[in-house]
Amino acid sequence: MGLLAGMVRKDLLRHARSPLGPALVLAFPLIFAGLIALTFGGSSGTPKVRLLVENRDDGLASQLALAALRDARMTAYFDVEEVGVDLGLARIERDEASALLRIPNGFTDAILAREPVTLELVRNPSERILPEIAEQVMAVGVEVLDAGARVLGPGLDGLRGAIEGDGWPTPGTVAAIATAVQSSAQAASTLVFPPVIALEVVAAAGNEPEEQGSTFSIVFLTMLPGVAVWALFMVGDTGMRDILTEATAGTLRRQLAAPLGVREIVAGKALAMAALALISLTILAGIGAFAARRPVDAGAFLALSAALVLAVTGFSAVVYGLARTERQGSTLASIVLLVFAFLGGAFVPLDSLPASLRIVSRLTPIAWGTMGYQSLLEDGAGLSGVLPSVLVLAGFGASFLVVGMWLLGRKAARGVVA
Amino acid sequence: MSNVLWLAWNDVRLTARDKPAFLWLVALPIAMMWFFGAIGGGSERPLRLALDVLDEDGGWVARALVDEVRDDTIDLQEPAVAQAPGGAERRRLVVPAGFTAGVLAGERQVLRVEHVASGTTESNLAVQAHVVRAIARTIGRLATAKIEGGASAERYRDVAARPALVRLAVATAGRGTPVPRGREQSVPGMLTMTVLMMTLIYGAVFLTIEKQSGMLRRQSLVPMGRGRVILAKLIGRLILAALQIGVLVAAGRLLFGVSWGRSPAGLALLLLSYAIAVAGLATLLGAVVRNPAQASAVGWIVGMVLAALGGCWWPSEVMPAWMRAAAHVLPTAWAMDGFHGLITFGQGLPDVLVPAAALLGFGGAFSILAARLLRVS
Amino acid sequence: MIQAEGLSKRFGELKAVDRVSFDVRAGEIYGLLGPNGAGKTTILSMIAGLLAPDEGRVTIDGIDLARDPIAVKARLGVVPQEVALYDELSARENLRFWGGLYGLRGARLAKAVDDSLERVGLAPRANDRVRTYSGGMKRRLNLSLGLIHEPRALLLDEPTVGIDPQARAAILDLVRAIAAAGTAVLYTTHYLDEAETLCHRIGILDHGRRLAEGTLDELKQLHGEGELITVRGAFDAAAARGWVAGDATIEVVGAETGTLVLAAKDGAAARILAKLLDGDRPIDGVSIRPPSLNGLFLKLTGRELRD
Repeated sequence: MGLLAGMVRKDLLRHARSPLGPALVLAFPLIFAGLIALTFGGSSGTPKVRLLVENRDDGLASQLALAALRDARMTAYFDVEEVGVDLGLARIERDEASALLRIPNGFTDAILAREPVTLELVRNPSERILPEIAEQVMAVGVEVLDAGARVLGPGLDGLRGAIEGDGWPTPGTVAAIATAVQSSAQAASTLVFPPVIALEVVAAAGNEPEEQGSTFSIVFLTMLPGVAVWALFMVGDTGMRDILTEATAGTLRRQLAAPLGVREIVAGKALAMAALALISLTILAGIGAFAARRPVDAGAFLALSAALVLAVTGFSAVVYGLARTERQGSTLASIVLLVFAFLGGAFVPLDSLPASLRIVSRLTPIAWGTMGYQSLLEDGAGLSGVLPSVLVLAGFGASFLVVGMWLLGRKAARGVVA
Repeated sequence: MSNVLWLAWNDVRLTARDKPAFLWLVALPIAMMWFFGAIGGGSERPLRLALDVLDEDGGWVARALVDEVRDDTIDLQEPAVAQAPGGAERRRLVVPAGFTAGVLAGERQVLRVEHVASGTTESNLAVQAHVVRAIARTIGRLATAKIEGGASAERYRDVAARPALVRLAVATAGRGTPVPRGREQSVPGMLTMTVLMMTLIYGAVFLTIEKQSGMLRRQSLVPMGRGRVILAKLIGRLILAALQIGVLVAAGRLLFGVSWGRSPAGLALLLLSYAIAVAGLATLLGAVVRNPAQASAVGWIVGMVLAALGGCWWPSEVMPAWMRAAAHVLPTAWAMDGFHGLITFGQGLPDVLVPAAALLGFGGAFSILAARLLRVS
Repeated sequence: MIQAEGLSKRFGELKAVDRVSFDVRAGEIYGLLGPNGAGKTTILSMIAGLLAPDEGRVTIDGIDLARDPIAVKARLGVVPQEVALYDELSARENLRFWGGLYGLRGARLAKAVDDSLERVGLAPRANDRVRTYSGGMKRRLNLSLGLIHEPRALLLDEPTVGIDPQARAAILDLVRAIAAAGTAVLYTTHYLDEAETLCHRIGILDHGRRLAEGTLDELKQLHGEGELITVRGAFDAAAARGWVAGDATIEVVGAETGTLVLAAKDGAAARILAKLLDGDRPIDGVSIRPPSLNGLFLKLTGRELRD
């Protein structure tokens, strides 16, 4: 044991003396999760839709529509700006707004006459989400306008006459209009004020419904597990690659000339790598716990972390057991880990993947690590909640470690050439 | 100058001889284009949204609502056997028992949309929006029917048959094509990111290897001078970036059917200026780091951060305004601006002059710094 | 102390070592001399347990390497040709680590580290990182790592390659002191002067075979007392042989177009020279070398040691 401890200490000391590589790998998940949190987790959540309005009508109906757009409930999601006629399109094409709503000339007349009229929404082609929001909201608004035009029909007839007539409308006309409108409104009130049909959204089993107005820390904690798991695999890669670095430097050969077996040398390297991964995991977990500001089940965390470290060690052992040179190994590891990362939810949330890719993601250890830590941080899961991840990672790690140690041992014994 | 080009070409040749080079410079970027495109919905319009309906009521208002939900964009089915909640494979709309009577009595009724784990966030939101529109339409028609003499199934059908008074027509600015999705969006972004990352990594790694091995020092001893050696390093990285760009532009066109806009001159100017910026940054990175491992690690991280902030990973529209503005201290944001102008708005050469000038400015600044900081031994 | 019996090693078609046998006694410096590619490092690797021989046996201090490699390695020190150090660690940290691998602990380890640093003159820089050392300092540290556990047998693979004469002299002195203390030293080199001045016995290798073995005097005896005469000119081998045919005092060591190498016995060099230059022979130049290992090598192989 003293021998192994000495080997682990030696490697950790070497990494501590050249910390830039591992430090950068560790910093990456924090930087990346922080970036995404800054982007998506600002206090206002998704940015407001910049909506331009070209009002070619300037009648009562269009003014009412504009007023509705400027209502407090709408301004939470829309930045509405009225622009001059024919100026809106140029602004869109300069990428200064997400969408342009054109209210045609004769809009009010058409509404009052209960004749068909079409509003036009022009989308900014360089944006996808915000124009989509604008389109959906405008579509609902158009339905409401359409319904309103029909509901208030009788009242609108009187109103049109009053507007088009000469001079001021008489009190009787006004009273008749008011009565008609009130009568329609009253008839519709039980259906419309408030809307008689509501919609409840139930998230998929096991998923929390999306929170409105995500905060920085919520988004940060959503992204951190996946990218941190990837970073741990990269740290493992750095640690295990060292066996080939030592082969190149001649110090592996020197160790083989010393009174210890190949297995001890390989075990020492694997232990050092595991220790490095554990240190990295502790740092990342500490930051995650600080951001979460709520307790995490210690037993579940330890079990999951141990299984992850085993998986990291096993994976790296196989990669460098197969690789013939350091360069080959780092290339193989980088590519495989990148694929695992994309499929496993490190850079893109798992639920954003198409269904077919989500099936494939279950084949990656990163996905299981990500799911496990997300359960811990977001759902407050205990050991039973993370058990599937623990078992899969441990199984993966143990089997890969056996194979990897055999490959490395064979390489270490064979790879010393006179 | 021929010596400079000779030395620069040597760097390119050494890179090409590196066996994984094809993987990193070509195969991986294409794979990432495909991947991000697949997440974004592929290159075609999305498939119809899947939605099952469980009508526990069966009354005429419920049936009317279901008919309002049904259209060409929804794959609506009413399975004979109700699935257990949580066990369903398709999204489900549940109309509760007593819905029709409750609505007609003015009592608030709650529809339920049950999402499934296989649904993406975007499709879930699209279904919700669709159902909300159907609700608005149903309420409007019910109210109209009520005002015209009472809400009944026959009167509702009569109201529903009338053409809409107010419609919404949707158009797209620029070239007038539908909003880019899938690979049309991912290809420019991934090109920007992977050219940056691979030029950073390869360019800096080889430079540090030359520093460590003494090769750079040896190169400085030939009758060229240090300045020309550095110029050769810059040009070498520029050629590498330009070659990769050429391959990926062709791949984007031939494999993914992406149109690169209507201005070849504008595209060429934008890509060349981006290559210059990237080459300068790669040389600067190689100048400041000590060994290949550091070059690789820093290259990865810098590449990913610049790509994320520059709008290569997600549409810049979702970034807060301050972030969008701040991102323009990075070359990637300017490159993406140029791509948007060319590809989505169909702009021409004059419109990419500003992004190109910014990129050339970056290239110049990086190159000057690299020249100052690069030590040949 | 070190016994190599019938060692052979093949790499594919190439037979790198072909039935080489020798032994090294306690307190003796045995030199393996040969050009690059002769098989020196391969032999060393087999003795160090890094390569398994295809044939033959290695015994260190009476222990069969194949049977108990760990016990053998515990008695063996190895100084590889390439400098194999941890650049990120200091000399002291390197010594501590390698001493630990050889079973040294606690106070014993600390003393061994201090003694090693003193012995190679690195004590003042003991805590500096190896990365900051000169080439000579790295070589000295490289040597001391093989000695920290006071091995019974020491294998040195060309330890003075690429260092300045002063550092080289220091290493050679150190090797002598180690041998004088009773350690059996197997020293490989392609430097003739090192072999001649350092080694008690020398084995000459070429193409994996041991061609000759003995003390310097014994080897010179083998070569004979005479000088080596090398004649160059525009002649073919058959004609050149004909010039000296029938003369018992001359031995033709090598003859090819343009070059004739003769070994002259019993001080006959002057007479032979006169004979060759008498007459209209197409000779451009002649050189005479006194008896040396290079001469012996040339005699045995027809090539210079440095070829």
